[in-house]
Amino acid sequence: MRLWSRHPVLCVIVAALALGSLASLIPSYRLFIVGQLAVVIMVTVALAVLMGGAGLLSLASAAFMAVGGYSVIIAMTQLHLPLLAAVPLVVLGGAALGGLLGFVTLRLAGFYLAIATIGFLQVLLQGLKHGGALTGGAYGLVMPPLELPFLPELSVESVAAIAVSLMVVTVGGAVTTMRSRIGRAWIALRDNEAAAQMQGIDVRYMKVLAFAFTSGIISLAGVLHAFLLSGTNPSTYTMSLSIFHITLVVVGGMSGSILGAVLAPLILFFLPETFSALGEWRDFFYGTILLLTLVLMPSGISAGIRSVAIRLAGPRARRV
Amino acid sequence: MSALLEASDLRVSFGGVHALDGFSVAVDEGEIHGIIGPNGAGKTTAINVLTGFVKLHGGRVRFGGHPLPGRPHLIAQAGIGRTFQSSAIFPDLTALENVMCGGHRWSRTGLFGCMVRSKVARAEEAELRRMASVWLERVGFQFPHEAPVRALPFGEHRKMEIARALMGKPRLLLLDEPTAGLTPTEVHLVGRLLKALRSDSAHPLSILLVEHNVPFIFSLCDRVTAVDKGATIVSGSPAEIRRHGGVIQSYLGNEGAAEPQAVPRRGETHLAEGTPPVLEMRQVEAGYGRVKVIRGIDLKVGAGELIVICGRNGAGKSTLLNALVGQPRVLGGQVLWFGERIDGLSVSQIVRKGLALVPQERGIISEQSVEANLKLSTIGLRLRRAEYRARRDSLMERFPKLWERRTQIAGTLSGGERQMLALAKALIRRPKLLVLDEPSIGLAPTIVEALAGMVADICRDGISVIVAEQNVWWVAPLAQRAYLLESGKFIAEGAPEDVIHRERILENFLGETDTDEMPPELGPAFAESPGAEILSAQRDVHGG
Repeated sequence: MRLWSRHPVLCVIVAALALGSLASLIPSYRLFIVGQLAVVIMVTVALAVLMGGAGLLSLASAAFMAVGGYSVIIAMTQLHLPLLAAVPLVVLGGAALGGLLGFVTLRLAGFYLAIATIGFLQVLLQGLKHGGALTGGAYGLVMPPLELPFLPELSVESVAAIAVSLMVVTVGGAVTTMRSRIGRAWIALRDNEAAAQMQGIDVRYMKVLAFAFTSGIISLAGVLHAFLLSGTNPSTYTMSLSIFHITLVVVGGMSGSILGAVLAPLILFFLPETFSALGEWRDFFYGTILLLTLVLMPSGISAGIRSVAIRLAGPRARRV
Repeated sequence: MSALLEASDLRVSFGGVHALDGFSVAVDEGEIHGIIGPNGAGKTTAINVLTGFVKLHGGRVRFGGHPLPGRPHLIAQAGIGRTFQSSAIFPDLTALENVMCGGHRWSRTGLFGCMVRSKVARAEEAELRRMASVWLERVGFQFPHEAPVRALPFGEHRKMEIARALMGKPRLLLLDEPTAGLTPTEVHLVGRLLKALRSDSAHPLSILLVEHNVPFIFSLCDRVTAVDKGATIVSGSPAEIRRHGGVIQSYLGNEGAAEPQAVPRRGETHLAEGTPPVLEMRQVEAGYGRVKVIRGIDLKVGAGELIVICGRNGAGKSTLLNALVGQPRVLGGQVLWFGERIDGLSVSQIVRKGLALVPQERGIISEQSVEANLKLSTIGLRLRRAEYRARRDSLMERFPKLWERRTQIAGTLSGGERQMLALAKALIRRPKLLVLDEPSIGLAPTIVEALAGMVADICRDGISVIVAEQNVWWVAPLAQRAYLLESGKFIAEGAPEDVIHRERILENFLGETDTDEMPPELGPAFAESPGAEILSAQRDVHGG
């Protein structure tokens, strides 16, 4: 615990490498699902910061995944950028676009904000479908070979392992941020905007920052998602994808806790995917787990775990 | 030397109502300055103007020789800290983190630094943590610093908010009713803290506080500004203010003129032998969680009687009234309704028996029309349409103004009209007992006079009425009995003249002495410190 609080970067790098190499031992047909799980966790964690932390509802997660997927392919094929330059550029671009969306919607809150982000998603989707050669229209774009210096062409398996490592980095970054002055400022403005302002917190800047932070991470997840699927297809990035992400955040808990955002995809994405033998009963299984978790833990997984932890460890249990 | 804060001739109006109309105040470096004034005088509006939450329509504010910045966070960064009238905590953070938020103003780490927890970020975080726990200690915060704050008592929230405001190293601290809801011991502690802060030479601090607790203000402040109807009446030393006739008038109402004239004096008591009273409370205790706000309450109300319960803000009046209708539930003792126990019943069961509560905030559905509001309050009675109309029409004779406005949206009514509507909503249910919580709050004196007439009429119809009030002058002459509530107990009861003796009010509101100490406690109810009790109850809740 002490090592974590003093050298979080070191801890995260070690954990990322360890989990990444552990993941590469998984048989390849499973590894694909593990890679997708990593992507879903990244999105959920990012959204948990925006919705749970800063209290800003957004249904634009699918849009930023599309931004990540499309722009990385465009950057590599049209602008001929190398992979290692394209990805950071896409993440920064996604963050900037997210910040812009946050700035434009500053006056909105709650459902109004959510509806506005739906509008953003729809506009973007229509743009992608009618973008001609640039976006590949209804068929989307095909991923070029993924080339890294000094390394053979990246296979889907190694992309999945890398996704696991990056997921660990994301989770680490989200945890440290939520436990910093910026994370506290987000929670403060979520709970009482007037009181937050009187602490000298620039509420507008913090909201834009939350959007940028989240959108940057979701863009990165979108990049990895496109890598895993070797391309993009506009029919992937629908509102139901966004709603799925929001479901995960809500089930995880809206308190700004990251733990729930990591666990919810495990329960609601990974479990149904692994029991593929369920066949047509998969949705039934998903719905049942969803209902059960919400009925048993009405404030989400993180709150549920916390109350159990408090019962076990007494009132001094740390927040998780 | 020029003042640190200079506000002159401030004007603010909300939809034609002048909330501030010529408010001025000047606070010197290192001064403790108090603002007093009756409810609705514009005190909180003034604080909101000084912190940028309300836009000025006229007047000028200068802080440290410069005009105020336009937005609240910039004002905070310029060195003005504040607390809020109602609790404004961040419930999902721990006490320590709440206070650490106050240091946002002077911590600088950016997003990237926070994410990788850079060396600078770690140092800053450690400093925030250290200072926050120092401040929590200094304000006398009684709980573990890592405690979840949601369930803490109100008084602890108050202290935490003061600590949070101080964490921002302000030059001027604005406190909006810092002692509301605190026990006398805690009030004393806050007073000592504020004095200590002022003389803290390392960091000079000026304090401007708004308070209803006038003895507290007079014992603490260097200068006091009295406001009424949005304007400054007078500004000066506590001794000057105490002698000022206008101040006494604005608190106690006009001698004679404000006394309701056409209203008959109270009759003899209706507590007949043999028949059970409409309502009887025996040794009632109630509160929130395990905290008992009221204790050992004995009360009897006969048919057609008017009872007044007076007492300071936070004495437990609202809790007492709310406990009557079962929210919060009565924790001990008995409540009898015509001799039958009702303390275990649900809110709707109690209300159906014929008990109507008009809460302090009036309980009006502001998005609905006046007529819809009336109709909604008859739900559950299953009235026939003709019966409803008959009741409505008879009420509208009593409140002709409401009839004119029956299609208007209730949220757009004036304060007086809202109170009429609230009364009408209660009366249309034909209650046997009407309970009014601070009915005069936010009402202009003329409206209050009209209200007195209505209450007298209601009693004459045989409906019993309980009124809980801070400003008792308007209702006391009508009442059969009065009770004085302090720290959750009745410390006096009997004829209104005895209980609410005018001298007594004067003493309560304005204090007598200028000493360092709080005025001598009002009665034996103060003797056992409720602070300690609340604390131990809370500790039980948290299993500590």
